Amino acid sequence: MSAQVTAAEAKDWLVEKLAVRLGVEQSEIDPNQYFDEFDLDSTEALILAGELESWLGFELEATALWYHPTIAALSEHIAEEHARHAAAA
Amino acid sequence: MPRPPDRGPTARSPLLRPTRPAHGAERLRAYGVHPGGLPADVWQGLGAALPPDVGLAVFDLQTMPEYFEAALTGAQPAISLAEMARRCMLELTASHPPGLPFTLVGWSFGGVVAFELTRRMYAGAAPLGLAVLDSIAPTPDFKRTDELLEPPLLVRWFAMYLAAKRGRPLTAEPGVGGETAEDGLAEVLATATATGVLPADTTMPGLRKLYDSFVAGLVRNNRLVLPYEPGWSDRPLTLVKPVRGLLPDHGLLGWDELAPVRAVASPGDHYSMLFDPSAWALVADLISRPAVSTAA
Repeated sequence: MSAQVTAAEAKDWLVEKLAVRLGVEQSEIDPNQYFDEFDLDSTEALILAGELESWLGFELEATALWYHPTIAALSEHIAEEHARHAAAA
Repeated sequence: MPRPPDRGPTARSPLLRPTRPAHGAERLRAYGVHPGGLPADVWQGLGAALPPDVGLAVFDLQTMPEYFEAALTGAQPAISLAEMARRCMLELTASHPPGLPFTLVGWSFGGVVAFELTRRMYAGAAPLGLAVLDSIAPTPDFKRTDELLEPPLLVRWFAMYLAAKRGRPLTAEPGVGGETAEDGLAEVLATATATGVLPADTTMPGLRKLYDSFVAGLVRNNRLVLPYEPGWSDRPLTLVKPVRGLLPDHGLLGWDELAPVRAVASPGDHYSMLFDPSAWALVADLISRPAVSTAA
């Protein structure tokens, strides 16, 4: 992905993927809920992280989910990181 | 950068977890040493298999921040294996009832830490027995630098790990091949999605991330083992070796170079043995009769 990813776009991506993985409606995904409170095992969480990085086109640092443990917080972080990567390119 | 939240494996988690108290008068306490990879809760299977008068507590090594973070960051661990064993010994001596016999059981890398823990104890305070569950001995022939971690072997281990994590057998595991990790992972992905081990829409980048995380844990443990040179110990140990273990064709996995050892076969593979009641029953029998388990 080359265009700037906004926090809203990252949030939408995460909500959509999580809803599919959990088999629930997107409206049931609370962006402020901690990732480890979703019914998602660590295997699924890592797979989702890999797919997210593939979509973004760059790797997130391994501690990203630790420091930004909700969809809302991670989306803001992704937007900042994407802007940083775009500026460095 | 914001502070890490008060969550995750290292957040206020004790190193030593009481896992199953003895019922009535405690005759013996077993201590498990768990290196991560799977949740430490898997040891409840051993607790269920032990006789009522044997208690169980588990050292969850992932609660040591330096150990946990080394797998996240890929950096050299900011802790040594000896220091990890020392911390376990401090916990044990601080909480163990005086005079109560105890025994140690370590799975995988946890077996190496349990071995060092045993070596550090004075004769009068030593465990009655030590059992290592599919642990590879820290000897020159079995140590691996990062470069020597061969993709076909890693992918085979990863397939076993994935099956255990998902709670379903991955039937193609023995046939996983290919010279590169990518070849092997493509085979794992095809089989895992076809058999329902993973959702059908799982992609290779997703699986690759899981694999990289798995390998990062192995690399961390290998780096901890590389500088560790324990020398011979006269204290016997029992190697519990599953039928489809890490290195099924390598006999005693090097332990005969370090201690009097005997091997006992168990069902399952390196990971599934931790979910198999019959494997845990075998381990429970070994450690609850330590006079037998310590026979060379």
